[in-house]
Amino acid sequence: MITNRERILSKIKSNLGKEKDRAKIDIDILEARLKGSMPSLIPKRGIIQQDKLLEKFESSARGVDSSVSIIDDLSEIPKEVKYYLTQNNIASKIVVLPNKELDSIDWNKYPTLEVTKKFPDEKDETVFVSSYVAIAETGTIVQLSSSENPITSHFLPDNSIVLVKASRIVAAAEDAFKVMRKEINSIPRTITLISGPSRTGDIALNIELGAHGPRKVHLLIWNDTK
Amino acid sequence: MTVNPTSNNFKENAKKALADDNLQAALNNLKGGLISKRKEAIKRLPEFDAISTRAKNIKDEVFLDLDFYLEKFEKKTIEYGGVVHWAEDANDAKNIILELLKSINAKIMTKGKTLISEEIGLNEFLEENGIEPVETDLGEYIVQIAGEKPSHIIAPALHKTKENVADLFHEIHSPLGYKERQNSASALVAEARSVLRKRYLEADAGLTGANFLVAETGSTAIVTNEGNGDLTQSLPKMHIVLATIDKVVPTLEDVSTILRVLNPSATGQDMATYVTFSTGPKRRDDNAGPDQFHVVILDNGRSDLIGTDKQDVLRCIRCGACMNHCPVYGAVGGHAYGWVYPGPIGAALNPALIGIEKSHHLPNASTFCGRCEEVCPMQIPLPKIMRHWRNEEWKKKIPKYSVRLVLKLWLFLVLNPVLYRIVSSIFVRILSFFSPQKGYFSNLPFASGWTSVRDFPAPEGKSFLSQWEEEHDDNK
Amino acid sequence: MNNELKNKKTEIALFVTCLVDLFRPSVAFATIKLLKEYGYTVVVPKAQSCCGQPAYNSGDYEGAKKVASAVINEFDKYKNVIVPSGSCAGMMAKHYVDLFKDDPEFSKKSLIFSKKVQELISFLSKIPDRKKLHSNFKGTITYHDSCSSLREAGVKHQARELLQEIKGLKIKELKHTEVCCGFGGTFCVKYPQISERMVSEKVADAEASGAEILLSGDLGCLMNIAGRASREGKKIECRHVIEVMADMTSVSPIGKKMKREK
Ligand code: SF4
Repeated sequence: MITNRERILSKIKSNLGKEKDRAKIDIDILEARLKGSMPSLIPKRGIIQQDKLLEKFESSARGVDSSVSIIDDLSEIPKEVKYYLTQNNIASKIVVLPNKELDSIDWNKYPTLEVTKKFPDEKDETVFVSSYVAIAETGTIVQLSSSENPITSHFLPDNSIVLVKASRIVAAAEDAFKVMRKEINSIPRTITLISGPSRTGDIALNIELGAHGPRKVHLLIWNDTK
Repeated sequence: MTVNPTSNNFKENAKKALADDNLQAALNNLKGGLISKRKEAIKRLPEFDAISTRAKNIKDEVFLDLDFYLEKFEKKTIEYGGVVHWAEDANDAKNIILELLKSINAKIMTKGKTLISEEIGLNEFLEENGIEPVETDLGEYIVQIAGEKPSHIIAPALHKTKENVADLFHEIHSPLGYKERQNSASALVAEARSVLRKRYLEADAGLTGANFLVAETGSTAIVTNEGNGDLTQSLPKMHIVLATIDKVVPTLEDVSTILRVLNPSATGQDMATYVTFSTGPKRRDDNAGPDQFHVVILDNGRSDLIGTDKQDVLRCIRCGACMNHCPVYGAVGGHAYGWVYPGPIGAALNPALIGIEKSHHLPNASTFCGRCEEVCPMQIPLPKIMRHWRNEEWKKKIPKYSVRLVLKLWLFLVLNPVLYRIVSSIFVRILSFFSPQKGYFSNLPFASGWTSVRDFPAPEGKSFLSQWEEEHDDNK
Repeated sequence: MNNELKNKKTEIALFVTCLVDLFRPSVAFATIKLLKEYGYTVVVPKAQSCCGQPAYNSGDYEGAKKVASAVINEFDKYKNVIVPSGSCAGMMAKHYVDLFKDDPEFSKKSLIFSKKVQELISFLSKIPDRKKLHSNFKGTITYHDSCSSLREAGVKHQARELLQEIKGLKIKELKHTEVCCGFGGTFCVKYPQISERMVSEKVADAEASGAEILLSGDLGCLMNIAGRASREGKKIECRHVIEVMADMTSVSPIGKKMKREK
């Protein structure tokens, strides 16, 4: 029996006049294309000097309605988090993803800040996560899913506080992919590029923040390049 | 079978739409917002045109080897534990999806925004089969609970004013405990968020579309602002992706290139809030994600366009810019078009999907002003494709006999210059003779289409060519 | 081309367009007058009528090809073909090439021909060392960009710059200069209600601009806008832009009361 698959593919092939199998050389060219033989076309605004990355990331992030604060040392995190929550009238209660990187933060100095280490669910209001890399051109953070970083962490809570290392800010999305290809062998189940809080324009084209994902995104940029 | 088109009622639909004050008020929102936001976003990207050309080339290049890229995508998806299903038409796709849902005894399926599901009439089909589809994109949700169809490809509920939505939510959400009628857009959004949160968690399966299928990695990618697509695809046990054959691109970088023109064109953003690449089901040690990952690749007539003069239409990335800038869409809104894809892209694509017989008004209801082509980030020659459809229908003798006869007579005259000059000068003389003093005709029986809405300016006097001939009798 | 255009004896063939021929001969006379003032010799080839758009846009490609090949054959011997209409110029310079792309005889011919065809305003703006327009016209005008002038002939700033040379003329822009007036050839009679909406908005914009006269480079748009303004009882007058540029505004505006001189 001829399957749908065969029917569709053979129709395409015959419309292309490519009924015969491709020559080896043609396949090689296509395979090379898939391995990145075509150089990307990155606009000027996405080509950023190393020393301008932080500045550009900050302004882009604000441009997509994230709030930003910059810290010089990891030890400042609890204070900053506490301050942010108070300023924004958010309950002093956060969920911190249980992973190696965030485990080193000492939250004990702020006993009024309730910290739970777990993966967030729909009942958790505020989550504290760290980003894989960040993209200066668009103020985007990149999250790769893993056993330590479930994708739902970035969508269920109302507020997302994200640790961004300055050393992990890249210029453009293409650079983020480059880092990923270098560091990771196989593609993670999900790669999520997040630019600011969730939003919708579906009611009479008014932009409203906080559609289904976080209403607020706060970025703590740790200037670890200093 | 696909959802029944009412495109042949375009004229009546349009008339109704023009007289619908509420719709006109809603359409008015279009004029300011999206057009000026797009302009601003493009100003921020001086390389827009060059990137748009690259984006176009990526798609053209893929189409030249479409079978290769699709097979590659399939292979990679399978490598990561996903399952790929091929659907030749709407029925295939619906049955595949139903079987998948039955296999896990699904009762509720949440949905991210997918136009293709509208194209194949998935919701109606699932309901008939006892499965509840729940739209989660706010615009789609509004349209679903109103029992309507989307009227715009990126803003499905564009035809509704805020007051309409407030009334609707009040009616539908009251029994759920939301007693108070909300008036502000933000309160309405919050209410929908709260209602839909429960649905995400109840759902047995989640279905999304895909803006891209990445051949290199076997990933499907969605581009959203609300975050609904991500909750849809990561909370339930099964994630089904419904995508058409034209969505495949080679690499992640190609996605990035196209995003650079998609986002400004669609919403005037530099970057959409969320872009998620999904590859296969939950990994062994993952704490979230679906147990099953299925991709349904649908053809539904698209492969027929490959290698033809209408192939360009497959480059479409569904940004909506063409309809935002279309004066016809702006006057009548999306529902008048009578099928899933409204505006210029609908006029170019729908005839390929439902047949020119069922959609012949669409490519005709255009002034060929060319603004759609001008703003299309994928450089699709929309008017040209509409004209090709007119050609197709001409060859099939679909236009009325009287229309064809008039054109034949005209052609005969035009091709016989001497006769043309005699006849046209007589015509002008007669018209001038009957010209009212006021300089225009309020009513011309043979041009009632014209004079029903505007006066017909009287000719100046004799035709130019006859005057010229008189003056230059001795001419070379 | 530039050098050649300086040559006083350069011959220009005028493609009158069917609408101008039948309804507004003044446009052709004004064109000829201005071109002569700039030193060109203008010829009007006899065997001309229409560029073929009605057939082409109705999908009758075969019919359109017949018209197009007749036009090419008649005008082929001239080096410059000037057309006082964006849409006809677009048809002849752009769409003929598309139509004939697979035609053994005309694919090349239409390509060569396409290089000779120029929309009037675009041509005027490119005349080297041209002396300024010296029309005695006085008044406030607004300029309607016809879609094909704008998008196919690329005319936008050229029209304004030329008009600004006229001392007594003031330009007030329309609010939505890039939006179609709703003419669209047969569109306006096939879908009169939609066309009505579009043209009413254009008339409203024209009125809101505060201009007394609306100028444009395409007679189709002008008849549409003038006809609608007249139906709405609006005062605004409509003229082809060349009438003002050539200082030939003694003829009544389009669709207005005739001054029966002849
Ligand atoms: S046709 Fe072009 S402008 Fe219209 S939706 Fe598709 S990509 Fe966007």
